[in-house]
Amino acid sequence: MKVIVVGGERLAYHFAKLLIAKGYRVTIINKDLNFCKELSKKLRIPIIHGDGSKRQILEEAEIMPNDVLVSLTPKDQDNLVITMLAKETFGTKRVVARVNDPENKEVFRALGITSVSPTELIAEVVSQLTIVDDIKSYFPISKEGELTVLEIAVDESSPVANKKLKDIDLPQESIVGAIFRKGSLIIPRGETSVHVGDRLFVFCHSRVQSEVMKAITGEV
Amino acid sequence: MAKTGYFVVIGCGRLGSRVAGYLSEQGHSVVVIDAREETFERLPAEFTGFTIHGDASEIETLKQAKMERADVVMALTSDDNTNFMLAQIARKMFGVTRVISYVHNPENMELFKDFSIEAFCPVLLAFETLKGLLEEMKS
Repeated sequence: MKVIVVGGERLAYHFAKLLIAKGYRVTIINKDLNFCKELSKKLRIPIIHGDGSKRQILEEAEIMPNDVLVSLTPKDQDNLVITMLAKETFGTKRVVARVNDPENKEVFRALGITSVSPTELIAEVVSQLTIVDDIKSYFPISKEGELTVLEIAVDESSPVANKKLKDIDLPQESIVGAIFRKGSLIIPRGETSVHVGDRLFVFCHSRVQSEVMKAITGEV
Repeated sequence: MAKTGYFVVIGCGRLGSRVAGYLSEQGHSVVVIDAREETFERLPAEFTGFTIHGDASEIETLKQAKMERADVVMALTSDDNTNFMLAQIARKMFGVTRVISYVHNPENMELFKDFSIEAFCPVLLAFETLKGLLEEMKS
């Protein structure tokens, strides 16, 4: 078994190095001749100069059904052709494509190709970094991502501490659906008071989630 | 297909613009998509359809073109891999039954054939024409 890395400049180089360090056999395919020359000086692995979406180039890389192929070119359409060719023509089941446009993930899924979206991964990390500490989790539920459930811990500094739910100024498109207090579940009503130490589960439209967080934590 | 249908033509090059004009003339509804707006200037006077200025490799653009309603999609961009992907998207995501793709590099014909995508290659067509002419000269 080997890993074939198609396209992708610096990413391909560092990815290949990482794989080699983990003991994998790696073959690189790249369209850029100068990059191939540079790589062949740095890495002692097969480096093939050519277009990975061409059958003969994959043949040259001696692609086998038990290999893993990773396609990292900057164009989604190229990654699609490369991975589908590997999968359907050469029977290489384990293929992974980089998708640049997150909307294309759906396309790859419909065609049975595993895809990774760096755009989404980075966005995910950024959104996790920007969520304040009080918020334990945040998970978009529906397919379109319009429904969000926020789990928010209430501390002393929270503007909602010791207030009744009906007196809390929450956006229209949100509702406190559950409160966990000392390990037990409360399904709250308007008369229910919020205590310090409570964990609130708020259902809301994703467009108002930052307003919800602000209303409950007092922070933006 | 009914007498008149709904056609989505992707790529408004020399071929795309000509086909779009012809389809209009035949009474079909036509939408032409191209990422470069100036290409729409190529559309002939007969063209009565709509134009969408957008990148056809983005699903959003295809949704805008109401691709799910298309009787026929023609993938006529200048890039074979794009035409391949468009054919796959049209069939698998939008359920379009008839997709025709433009293949520039004759070597790629095999790929399209392997995935049962209806395709034509102008180089091969021209070659056939030339071969015919050469045959005529012999006799």
